Amino acid sequence: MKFKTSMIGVLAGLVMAGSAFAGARFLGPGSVIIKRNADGSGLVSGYLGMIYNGTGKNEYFGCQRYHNGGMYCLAMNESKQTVNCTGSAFLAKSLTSLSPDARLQVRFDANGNCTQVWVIHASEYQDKQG
Amino acid sequence: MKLRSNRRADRIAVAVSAILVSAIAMAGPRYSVPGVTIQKNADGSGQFYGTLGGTRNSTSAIERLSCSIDRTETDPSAPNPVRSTFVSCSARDKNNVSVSCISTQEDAADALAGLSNDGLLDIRYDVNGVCTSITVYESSSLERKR
Repeated sequence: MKFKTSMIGVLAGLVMAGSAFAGARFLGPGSVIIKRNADGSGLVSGYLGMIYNGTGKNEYFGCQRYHNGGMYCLAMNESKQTVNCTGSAFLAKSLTSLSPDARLQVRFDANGNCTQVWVIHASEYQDKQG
Repeated sequence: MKLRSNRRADRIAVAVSAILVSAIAMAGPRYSVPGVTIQKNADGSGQFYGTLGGTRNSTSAIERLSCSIDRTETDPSAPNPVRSTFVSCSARDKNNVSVSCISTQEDAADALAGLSNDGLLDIRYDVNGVCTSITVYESSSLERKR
């Protein structure tokens, strides 16, 4: 009993030490979130590193830029709902800043056109692991 | 306004070198900016800098550093779609001092191109909270996020 109590104390100490040596961290699930409006427009967002590190079996989120300036984004959530959109060279410029741990949000209209690309870099976001 | 990316590497490299942490065995040189540095001027302008990796790994649980790039284009199929660009950067240091700046300039967004998960950001802002200089520094020696 005494041993167990000591072990709990040691483990608690390790957890505390771990948290004490860390800057602010985003602790949400970071999963792919898809919101669709009645007219077919909507948005998709997610945290690339956390999606990779998460327990999800289906979800993914990615974008690509073409040499002619266009872009394409594709995502699927855990419910296997998918979205995709194509965008202009103007929106594709935001993808030049995309990194493996960024938060990405893309809005799309009812015609499958991307209408927003929002890339967020933050120290709080988890890198891809493993 | 002057926004540059990777052009002040020499100055930053000197600054980073000054805070060399360690060059451990079986590893290349490693540098760290251990957290966020915020310098506020009396007139309300200022500067903040740090690395995304070093800030995440800092010993303070409240330190943070962030920049985002948001481009929108309404009615993309129209001959002249309405476009907007919005850049926002913010930081909080270990003393719970926060600072932020924004810009709607295209070159501010362009300056953040290539920023990766552990990059160094050096940002200056004016008295109106507008980002006036954004420098991104990437190097093999920058600390990775843990």
